[in-house]
Amino acid sequence: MKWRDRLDAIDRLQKSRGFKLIASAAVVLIGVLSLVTYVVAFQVEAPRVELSAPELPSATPQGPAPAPVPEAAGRVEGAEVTPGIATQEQTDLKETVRAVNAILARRADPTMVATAIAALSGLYVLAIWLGLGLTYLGLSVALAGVFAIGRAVPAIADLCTFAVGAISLWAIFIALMEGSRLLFSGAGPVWSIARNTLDEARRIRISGVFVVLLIFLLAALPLLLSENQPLRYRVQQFLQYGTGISYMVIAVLAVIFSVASVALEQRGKVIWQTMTKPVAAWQYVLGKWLGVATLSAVLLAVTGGAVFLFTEYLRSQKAQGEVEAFLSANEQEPVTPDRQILETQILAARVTRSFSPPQLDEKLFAESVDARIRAEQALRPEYGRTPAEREEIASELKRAMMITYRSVDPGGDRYLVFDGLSEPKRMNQPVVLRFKPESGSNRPDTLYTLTFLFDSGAVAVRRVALAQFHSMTLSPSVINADGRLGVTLVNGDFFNRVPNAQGLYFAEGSIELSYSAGSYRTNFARVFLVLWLKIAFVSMAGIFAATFLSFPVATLTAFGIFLVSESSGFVRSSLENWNVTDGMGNDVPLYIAIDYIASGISYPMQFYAELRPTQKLVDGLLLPWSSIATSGVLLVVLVGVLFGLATVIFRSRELAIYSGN
Amino acid sequence: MVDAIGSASGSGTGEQPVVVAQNLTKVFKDFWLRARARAVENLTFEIHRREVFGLLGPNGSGKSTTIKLLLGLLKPTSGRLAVFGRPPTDVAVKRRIGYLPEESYLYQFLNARETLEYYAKLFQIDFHTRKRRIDELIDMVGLQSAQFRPVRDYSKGMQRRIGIAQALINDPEFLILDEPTTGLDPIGTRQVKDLIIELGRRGKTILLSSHLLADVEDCVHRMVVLYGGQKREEGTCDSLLEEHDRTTIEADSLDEATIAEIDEVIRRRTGGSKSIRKVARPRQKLEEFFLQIVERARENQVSTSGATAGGQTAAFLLGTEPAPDGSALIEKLTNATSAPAAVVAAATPPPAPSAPSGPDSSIIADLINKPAPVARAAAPAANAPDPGVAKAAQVDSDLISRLTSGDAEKPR
Repeated sequence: MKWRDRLDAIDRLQKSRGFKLIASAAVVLIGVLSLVTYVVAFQVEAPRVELSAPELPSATPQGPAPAPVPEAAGRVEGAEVTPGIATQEQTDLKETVRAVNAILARRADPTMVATAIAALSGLYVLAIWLGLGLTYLGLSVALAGVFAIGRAVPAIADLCTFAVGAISLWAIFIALMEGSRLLFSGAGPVWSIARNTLDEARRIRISGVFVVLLIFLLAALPLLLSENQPLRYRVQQFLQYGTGISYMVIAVLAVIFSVASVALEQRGKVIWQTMTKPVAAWQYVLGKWLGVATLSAVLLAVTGGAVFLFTEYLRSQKAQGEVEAFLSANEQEPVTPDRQILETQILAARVTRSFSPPQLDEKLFAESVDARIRAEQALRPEYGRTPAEREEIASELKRAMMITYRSVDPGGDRYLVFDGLSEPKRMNQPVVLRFKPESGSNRPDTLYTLTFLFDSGAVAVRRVALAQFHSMTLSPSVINADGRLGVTLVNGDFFNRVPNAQGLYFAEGSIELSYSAGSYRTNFARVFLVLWLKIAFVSMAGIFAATFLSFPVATLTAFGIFLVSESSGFVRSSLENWNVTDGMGNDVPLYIAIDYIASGISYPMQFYAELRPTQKLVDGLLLPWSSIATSGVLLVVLVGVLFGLATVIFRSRELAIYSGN
Repeated sequence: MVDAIGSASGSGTGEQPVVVAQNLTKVFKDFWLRARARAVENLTFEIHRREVFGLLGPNGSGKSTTIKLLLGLLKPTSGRLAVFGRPPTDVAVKRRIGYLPEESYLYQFLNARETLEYYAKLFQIDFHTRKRRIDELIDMVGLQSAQFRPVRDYSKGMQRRIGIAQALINDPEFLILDEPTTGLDPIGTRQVKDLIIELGRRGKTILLSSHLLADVEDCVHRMVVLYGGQKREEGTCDSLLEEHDRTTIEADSLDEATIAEIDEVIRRRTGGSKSIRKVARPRQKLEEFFLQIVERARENQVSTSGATAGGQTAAFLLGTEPAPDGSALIEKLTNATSAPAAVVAAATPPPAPSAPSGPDSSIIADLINKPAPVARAAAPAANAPDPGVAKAAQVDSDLISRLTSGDAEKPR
């Protein structure tokens, strides 16, 4: 195979010290020349775009003067309602314009180009010293060629874009893999086995198929986004599928590869030559896990980088209602709703607060429970005698109460209290109120009027469609000194005394307050860190299973652990509605057994399911360090337990026997 | 036969044996814990330091099982087993062992250099030592031209060679070779045997398992023969193979009349009870013949695309730094007698051609009317040890013993 010998010779050349020195010097020279050329020949004043929020006329409510708002617990007594429509919308606009201007300022900064050139040169030098200089040169030539073809032949422009994406991802992947190998280049069993595992991942078909599949899927995903959709939906779609597909493919690869790496070595007796060397069982297990975990980290870094960069690219596209990126077609509306939601709610790191449930009078509640039991005992005399039945009745009653509390009759009102808002109050940050009203069949052609009366005296009236989320940016002045926000929600136009036709219902999670608690970029990194922790756990599960099971059985076992972990949240929420009795109220042993087993399996992994990093990223929610720390510690403990078990089992195994033979 | 565990008389120097097996038994069971096969039964043996020990037996006799027990790949059902005085599963013990399994179980995606690099790192060998040893070993096994190709592209013999190299990467004290010549051509087989002999001469302890009896006979000091998992025989080559009821005399070519006269002398001396049984021209071994052809072809520089003949034994295996026990002096003194067979003969000196005793002694004395012939330099191994060489080897052995205060191993 002469071509392979030639490739090997080229590989040895690019790894030689002489080549590295010469190539580095050449790249640095080219970088400096490029920078000088840009500064001297092409420096231009970037048209600095800065938006400003126009003054809105304050609206005067129609009809007679409004009556004082009914008293409710916790509100400031004697507060007068001040029609402040303009104030709310002005706040909304000001905050959004401020955020957008910050983005525009970053884009127009001339040092960005210099930084980009320096970063690119640095990356090339790093690639050279990783022994990939000629590889990268070849890839760069291929990239340039494909790009040029795409520009010259519009019919295949999409295909060329896809190819450029795939080649770029591949280049990053091999650089990171080479860097990881360098990290494990020390002598010693753990490092040696880890590095060997990485080499195995690069060179065997199983992982190669997954890596190629992943890169192709990611590169193809942008082509599936419809330009007719609002920009915020495209961004959310890409975040959802890009992150979700990456995680699933990498997790499946981690499971299969971790099992294969251990089980197939035992089956092929290759492990004899390793374990007859001075390698302890824990070193072998740890080395294998490090290799698989590092491979996962590299793949997540590549895909995460790709998702992040393409999201930034999407962000720089036109939103709905814009003539070009960040430039609204409507002078009266400097920031379009599409852009506003994208910048403040999706590409954000928000913390949400739901309203506090109503305070229950325990005595009255207990009496209600007793009354319910007495009513039921008319039909079933033995009903409600046990504490478990009483607890079940109490839970049912509480659920019913909350459903009632979340419903607002036509013309009626509901007082809602949001606590835990000291942070935005202290930082003088605006908060966003998101709400989704539902009514009857949620007809899409029907608009309902909602009035919001804040304890601070501010008001807002909105005319909204049903079964959709709507948002409203609020000034921090609506929050009191205790970090509490109280608002009365009226089902109708309060000032014009026009109730809506039907009652409204707000499901759980359909009214929430949120505020920005961090940077989107940092949040993005945290999300991928959590994804890596989860994959590290399933990797150890795969290695654990492979220490004592054959390849097919170990693969099934590891997948089982993975699926149970991923579905534990769904199982636990389903169990809340799981009935262990038949239609006559008699306990069914099978149903009880299923309840116990499902609870037992899903409970330990509850924290795993509650993380939901991808969903948080898509919704622009903060994934706080405290959650990561708690879950991270639990995952580390689980990994440690599996590691200990794997070591003990592996040490006691007779490695000359595989699958009973 | 040596059965007592830790017998000091066996080692001669009071050193702890490298391997002690006492009533070793291995029974393979099925999933329901029913006994399926008794692979090894009540096996007792010792391997002493600096000896080349043979483990012989037909297929299924328990040789590989015994080796796997020694390496901790299997656990004994009963009995006691110690390697360097420690359980076989002890990780520290493995630092001193090199193992070549019966098949080459290598990572197919690595090339030769990467394979040796990987195994060297498991021993935590530093970078410079690793590089030097890898270069020497690749040269030694003749894989220079193929060192960057992945192992999956190698022939069986080439994979075997790299297997040998990885077994030696840590310069082990105890080398376990399971069917080391499988898949090798006669050149490779000869080189492996020479290597074993040389390593044995350098003080390594070697366990050689094979069913190719000629390979074992050329190399080992002592052996155990297994059948059905049980020990059938144990002893040195001489004690096991010598036929005491016959005498072989080798002379220059004789005519028929001379042969008849010799036969007449024998009959006269023995009263007609003994005579010459067979007169034949000695045959060169096929292996030697083959090697001579290859050597001639090499001298004529005929090209080959396979593995090349290996180079010299790796320097680190020979030891480059002066050793405190005077072995450097031994090296110098033994350089003159370069034929390995002579050294093997020194370790287990054959019966010296001193005055034979018994009724045949006068017959032989009559027949011997010349000094003992000089050892043939061309043939590295012969069926019977050359008396002249053996005598020189005997001298070497005595000299070594005097110089090193009895460090040299005495035959068992």
